[in-house]
Amino acid sequence: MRSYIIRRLLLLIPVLFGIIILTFAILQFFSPVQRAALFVTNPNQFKDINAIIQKYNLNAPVYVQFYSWIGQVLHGNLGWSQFAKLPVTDAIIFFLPATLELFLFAVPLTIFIGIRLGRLSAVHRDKPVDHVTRGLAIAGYSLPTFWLGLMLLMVFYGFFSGLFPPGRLGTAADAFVNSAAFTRYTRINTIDAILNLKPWILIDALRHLILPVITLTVVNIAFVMRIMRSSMLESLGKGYVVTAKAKGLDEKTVMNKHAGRTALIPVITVAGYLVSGLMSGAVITETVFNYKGLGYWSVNAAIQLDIPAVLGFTLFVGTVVVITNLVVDLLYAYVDPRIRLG
Amino acid sequence: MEKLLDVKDLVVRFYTYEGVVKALEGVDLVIMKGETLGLVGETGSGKSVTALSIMMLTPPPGKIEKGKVLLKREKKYVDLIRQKEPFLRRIRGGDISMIFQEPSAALNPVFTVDNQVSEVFLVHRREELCRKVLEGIEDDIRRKKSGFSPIRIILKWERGIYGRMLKNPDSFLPKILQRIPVVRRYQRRLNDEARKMTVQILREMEIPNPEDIVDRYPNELSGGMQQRVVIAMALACSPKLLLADEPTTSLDVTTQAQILDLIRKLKAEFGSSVLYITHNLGVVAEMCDRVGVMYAGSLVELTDVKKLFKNPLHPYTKALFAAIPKPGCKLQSIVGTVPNLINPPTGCRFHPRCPKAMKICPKVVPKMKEVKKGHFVACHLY
Amino acid sequence: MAPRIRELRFSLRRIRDSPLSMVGISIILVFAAIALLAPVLAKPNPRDAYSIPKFGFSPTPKPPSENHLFGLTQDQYDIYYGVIWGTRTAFRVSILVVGSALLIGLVIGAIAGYYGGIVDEIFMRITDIFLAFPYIVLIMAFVVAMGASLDSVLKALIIVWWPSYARLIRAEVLSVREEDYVEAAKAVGGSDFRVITRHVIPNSIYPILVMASLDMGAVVLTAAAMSFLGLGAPVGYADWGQLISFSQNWIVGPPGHPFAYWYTVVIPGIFIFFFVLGWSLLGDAFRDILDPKLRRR
Repeated sequence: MRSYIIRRLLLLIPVLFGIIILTFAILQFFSPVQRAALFVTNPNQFKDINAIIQKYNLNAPVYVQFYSWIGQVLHGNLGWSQFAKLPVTDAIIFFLPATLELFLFAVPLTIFIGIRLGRLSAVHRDKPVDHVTRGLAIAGYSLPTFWLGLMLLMVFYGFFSGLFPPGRLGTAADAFVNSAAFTRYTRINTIDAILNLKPWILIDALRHLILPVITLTVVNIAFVMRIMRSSMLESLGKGYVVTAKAKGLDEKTVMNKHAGRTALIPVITVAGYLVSGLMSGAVITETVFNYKGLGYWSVNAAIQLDIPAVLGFTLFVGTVVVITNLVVDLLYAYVDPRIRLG
Repeated sequence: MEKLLDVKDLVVRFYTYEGVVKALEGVDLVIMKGETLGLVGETGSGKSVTALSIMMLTPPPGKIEKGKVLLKREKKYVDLIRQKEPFLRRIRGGDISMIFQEPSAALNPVFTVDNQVSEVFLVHRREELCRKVLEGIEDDIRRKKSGFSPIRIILKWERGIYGRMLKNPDSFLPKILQRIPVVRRYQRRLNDEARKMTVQILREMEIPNPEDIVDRYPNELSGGMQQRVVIAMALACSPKLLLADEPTTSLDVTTQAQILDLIRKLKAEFGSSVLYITHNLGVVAEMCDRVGVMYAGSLVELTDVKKLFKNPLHPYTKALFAAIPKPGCKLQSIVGTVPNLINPPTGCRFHPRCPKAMKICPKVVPKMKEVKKGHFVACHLY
Repeated sequence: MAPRIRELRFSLRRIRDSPLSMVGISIILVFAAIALLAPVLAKPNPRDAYSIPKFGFSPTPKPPSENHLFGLTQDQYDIYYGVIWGTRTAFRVSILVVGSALLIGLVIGAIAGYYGGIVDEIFMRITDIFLAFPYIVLIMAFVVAMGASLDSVLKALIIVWWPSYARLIRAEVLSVREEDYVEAAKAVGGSDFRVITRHVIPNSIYPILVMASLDMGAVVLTAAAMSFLGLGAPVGYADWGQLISFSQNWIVGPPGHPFAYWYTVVIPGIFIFFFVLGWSLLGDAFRDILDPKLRRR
């Protein structure tokens, strides 16, 4: 197991490096003037664009540029986001909690429901339940995220006049949350509401969260369900399931404990892809629901050609996904006794 | 000698995409108390299906179409085919148990040995365990007389729960409490008692260091050890009948000898009957009292071991013996291949390969007849 | 060849027996028909067939009527025309992207698997890097760099999609390389390359088929998302995602008529949904049918 961990960690380095190089490669599509925005930390510096170009060698050969740029990145300077009117790093920190809040609800929901459905589907293979469940999961996955979002808004915001509105908070709640009476611990509204003991803020936040979370979940359930189903089917065919039955255990224990627990292990590997898929989904969902998180920021930045923002976002997300995959791999090795003690 | 298991005219069919596989066609078997019945045959002859079907665990898409499986229980014969699941679950592991060919496949890799063997005790020996736990609780209460009261309250509460479980095994309250995270710690006592019984049975299996082994995972054990654990699981509750499906085929010869010794010893100790499935005639000679020979889904010969080896009657059995390699002689094989059971040969299924086939063989299915005392054959020659 | 033909017929029968895959196939055939018959179903715009004709200047959408079967969306673009010709766009996009990604992935994966060693390592690190990013994030970055247009989206999609195919082919090549019969073939003088192509292609057809079917849908979804966000097809282009982006302002109607403009959202969305559904059902059914572990009863 130790060698596995070490190998995995070593693998991290070239991939991270590669991400940086890829981002840099994309960067080269732009002119020096545009690229200058990446080295700027406050708007006043734009007046001396040429000085900046000189300073950071933006006209020099590629490897020199890379050296200048990577220096900046490692110092935490990713440039200035025109859309957010903040340095990119600050913008990321500013918009992150909103997206985290979405994930906080969407990830457990997707995993939980996906596992349940997958197990159900496998146990009743080829029976109507199986077909219906699989059909629904595929339908969910075939829905365009933005369309589902818009439809949900149409019904629950339009038809039910404002039951589940877009955005993060209603105007009253928003004003309150930004006032002195409310302490921002994490900037995640639901958690802060609980910590501040203000239930009405919690309810308001939840009202705004329901639709985006549902949108994200519906589209990504198929992912989890599919792998759980195939893993469970494989598990059900294994000898220890027959042994378990031969021991006189009841159906539920056999399914849940023996077949189920072993089947869960491969599902962990999906978690990495799930985060990636949710991030893609979040970009669209946040835009549709006007939910001011990382996705919202990146899309508006893209439309307005706010290059540092787009690239900073890309770099950030890439790094996060890589680290998540690493954590997932290590977790997998730990959970499976065959690898842990092998 | 009384009959323990009486299988009458068992017919099993598998409904697959390619057609209906007629796996078992009217199998008749009797196993007496305390005897070891061997079941020999090639792969595909239906031996494993027979064993699984006795336990009513025919794998889907298989179905038992006809027949009776009579088990002697509490002085009566019960037809297992007509029983419902809750009853069958009590039989499985309690009255009849099974061990399989691949021990590594039979053990769940993500649970410890303790977990898997204790399961059997927790299902079949609940009352005994509850009683032992209650004794332990009473001792604890006596000792804590002068102590801190919260602990006494917890102990008294635990006594209450276990008392309930003892009186009414299917009681509702413990089942709910089992699901609540912190509260469910009361189960520890039960698991500890079961663990003691597990260590005990592992010791009887001649596994060295059982206290250490119980906490290990199956993949940390050798093949021989794994098989001992599987046997431990099977014999944990002293079943009356043990179905052994080629338990030593995947082990090396030395280990095989050890396991066979073990099974023999345990059989004497526990007094169980054994249905020993194998394709190895040497093992049959060593282990079995009587032997049945299966071919393509039917039993073709049934008699005691000595008689079979001395005087095999059915042409298939004769061919099997002739096929055993002997130094100096040319290797004899049986002409043809095992038939496709979707479209089996008509009449006697062996007739296309039989050197003694007669006109009647493809037409009529031969029935088992007692040709000599205690020696049954299904062949038109007799 | 006989066992392969038998397997093929077995697979075809299982396809026929699976209700989900039959539904999928039917849906795809309907869309194919629409795409082929587009000029008949909706008279093409003389200047540019893919430019949706406008019928007025009012920003407010108009409901379905005799002349405009599905109504008019914001700025009076004809929805019916848009969805019909949008079908052609969808097929163009998906076939182009999946086809190119497949070919590129095939070549790179085959080379990586065949030569192994450092070449393999390099290529695999490259695919790792691409696969590290969520699709949309990377595509957004590329599209911004290349300038927002349908072509950029196509190029970005191809760039992002080929690594999965490369991985697949490489895995097949590697597994075939390990087989004994490669050694045997070499011993009698056959070249590695020929043996591999003879064995890799048939073996890998099935997983490629599964992946390609699912991707046909996934690509259209992503392209539509890009157009919706304003980073893909230009305003007024016959693209489903583009049509939906018009409807953003109209999801809530005037008070008392909340669903007044439903047709701007629902209709193009239904087209996308069913198109993707058809391919996804097919791909999922393929996966179930062709997975050797789940195949036989």
